[in-house]
Amino acid sequence: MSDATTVGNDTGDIEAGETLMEIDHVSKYFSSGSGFLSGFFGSPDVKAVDDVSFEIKKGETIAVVGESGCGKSTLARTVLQLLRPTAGSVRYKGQDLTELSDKEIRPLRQNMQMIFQDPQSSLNPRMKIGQIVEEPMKAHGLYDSEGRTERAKVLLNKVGLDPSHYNRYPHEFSGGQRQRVNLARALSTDPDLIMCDEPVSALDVSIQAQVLNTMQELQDEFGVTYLFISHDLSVVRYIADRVAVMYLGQIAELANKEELFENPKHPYTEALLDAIPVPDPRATNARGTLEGDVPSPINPPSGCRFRTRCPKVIQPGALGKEPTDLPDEVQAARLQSYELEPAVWQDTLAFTRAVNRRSFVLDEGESDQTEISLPPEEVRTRLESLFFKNGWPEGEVERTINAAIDSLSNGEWEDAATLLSNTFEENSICAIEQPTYTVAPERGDIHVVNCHLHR
Amino acid sequence: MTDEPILTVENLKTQFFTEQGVVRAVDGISFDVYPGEIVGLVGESGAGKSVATSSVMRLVDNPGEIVGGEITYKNKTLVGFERAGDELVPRDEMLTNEEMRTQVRGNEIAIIFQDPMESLNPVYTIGHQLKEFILLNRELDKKAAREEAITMLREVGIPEPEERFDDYPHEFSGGMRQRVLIAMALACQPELIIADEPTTALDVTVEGQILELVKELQEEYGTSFLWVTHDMGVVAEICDRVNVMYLGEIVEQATVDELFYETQHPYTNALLNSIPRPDQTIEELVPIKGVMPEAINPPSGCRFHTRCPDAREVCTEIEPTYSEITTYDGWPHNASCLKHEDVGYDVSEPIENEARKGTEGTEVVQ
Repeated sequence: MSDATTVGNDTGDIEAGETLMEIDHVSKYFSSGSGFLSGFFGSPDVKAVDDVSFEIKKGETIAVVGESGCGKSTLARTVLQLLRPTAGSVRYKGQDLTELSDKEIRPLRQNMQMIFQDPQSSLNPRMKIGQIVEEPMKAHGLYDSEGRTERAKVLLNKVGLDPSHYNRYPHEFSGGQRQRVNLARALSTDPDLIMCDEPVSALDVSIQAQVLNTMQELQDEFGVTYLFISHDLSVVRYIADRVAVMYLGQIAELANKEELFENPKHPYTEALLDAIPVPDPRATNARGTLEGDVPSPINPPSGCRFRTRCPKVIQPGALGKEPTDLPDEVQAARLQSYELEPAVWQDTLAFTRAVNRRSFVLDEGESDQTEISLPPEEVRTRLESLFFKNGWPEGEVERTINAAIDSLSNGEWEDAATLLSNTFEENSICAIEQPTYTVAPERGDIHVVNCHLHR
Repeated sequence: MTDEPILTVENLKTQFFTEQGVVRAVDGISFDVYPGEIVGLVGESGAGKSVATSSVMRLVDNPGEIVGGEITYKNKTLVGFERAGDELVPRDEMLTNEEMRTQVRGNEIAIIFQDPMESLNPVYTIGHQLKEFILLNRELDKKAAREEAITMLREVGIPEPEERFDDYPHEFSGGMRQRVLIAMALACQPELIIADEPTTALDVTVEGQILELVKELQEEYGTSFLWVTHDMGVVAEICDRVNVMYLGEIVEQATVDELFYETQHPYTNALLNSIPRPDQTIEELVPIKGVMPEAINPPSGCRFHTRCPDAREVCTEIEPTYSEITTYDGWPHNASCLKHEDVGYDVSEPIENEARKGTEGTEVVQ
């Protein structure tokens, strides 16, 4: 590119729609300990990103959504090699970035730019916005001084700012305008990829729409690819082409936007979509609220990460198919087939979780439930009215529940929780095997659903 | 509408006296809350929502001051003025600061703030803070207060409440902390809870949990809520009636269904059109152009005329009256827009403002 004022995508060595980046089994662990003692004794790792694979295609907007702490920002930083992955590889146009040194990556960085959430703190308050926009070009030795100024003015105009404001300081602009300055800066080196980490979360709704529209116009004009990190599914539905839903360091579901929103397969995606308040008072919103909090990434649940909160955990031994290549421990677990009525299994699961969380009381008069002592029959009657409205489970399940009732009647909640959890939760296929499946998409070309319901 | 409102706010004015001039943060707003109702207060940041709620609680700090209006809670006068010579002075029956503290805050009106970390003291345990609050506001002994605190924690869905009682705020997640604040607000059985963006800092799934919790608790205790938010989704989901604020004024007030389906004010309309939807794919959002002007020097006439797509010449000159447009099911639908007045809007010329300019938001905040 010779002319500083042409802001178009130049080096068309790959076409729109072809793979720009390949993220292959990438993991990023952080050490949770600090100080030299933890070096001696070893400390557990925080598995912020664990075995994530996907592709970024040129010219698309791929969104990564998830709750706070699910690892979406870490993933994005790992993709850009701002954090070096613990394992796996990231290929940019076929070149493995994880094998390059920092010095070797540096020239490649002009193709990968960033926009952050807080438009205030990502702009240097002592620099004029013109200088801010020129900075990346300077760092990469692009154009001469005049060329840079000229290009900065062109870009300011493109993002919807007045080029005559070149000499103003960031504090003279509103939040939405500052985010536009960020956009202009990111575009200055003519990148292939812009990583946007919650770019509109700090903005008011009306300003959000302005910035999102500008981002789309810029993409149409320059063919730039966005890796869009967000927690807001409404924004994602507006801007993204493909969406990856992350939960606790892993991708739960990945599909084209329409497919994901209209035909969600993973119980976590369903729960997320159910949870958003719809701006329509006449919408009939049957919400299946998720219970509990996201577990700690230091010691994530075995098998499927979502199983501790999933409303659709598969009961032990209840898989329809008989694959012969299952590991031994899975086969062993499969022998304990309960074949409960679905409703009764749901009740059993709800009861197990309620004991774990101690979310109910057996004796109204006593605030500390670990100090009660009640006859088992009374406990059973109370549980029947609280949880088992669809009938009492039979056989082996009943024996386990009776043993738990004995513990509860003596106030031994811990024992009861361990017994129930080991019997019902840990024996499920969801706890034993990590799911990785793809299903045939109804819309679009890819649908990854990491859930055992879709094996 | 047989009941009396429990909270009535009339023509409330709160101003901040700064070096640059007088900021008219809340400029003559009126609304009321009936028993068992969830009333929304919606608007962008800077609209004056939080100043309005702090005024109700009489928590406006220097350099801010309530300079006019009436706030009545049941039979108590929270704010009231009378004329003495040229000045407005507080009336005798207006509660003193001490009476506000002992009679109103906490046990009659409770408030939940946006940031749960800043509302909890990091050096005391959750249980201690909750217990202290109950001891102050209810006549219970220490043991009973502890039991009540544990019951409330369980009620709002804190797992293993007996053990979490002795944990510190930093050991709780954001959603859990917000639950603790809700427990605190409910523990004193107030009749009105002011919730100032209580779910804004939370993840959607946690927000969902909290909204469900509020609905359940409201059914159980019949508490009224004044719910401050900028999220129209939350409004649609839980509010019974809504007030839309723009630059210190309430521009529209209606029941939730009327507001969304029979929108009367161009600002409300623009706000609704600018939000991305989770339930449908929208090709192109229609943003509100420009930014909200400063409250220190609000535009003449209708305050929205600088950004309004329907603005005409007359809008820059005449200040619209906030008046009843229709009634629905016994509830008034109020709006302040010259479209609904007989002041020659129809024959006035459309004006050139930011909504009609090609570029967006190019003016500079000085």
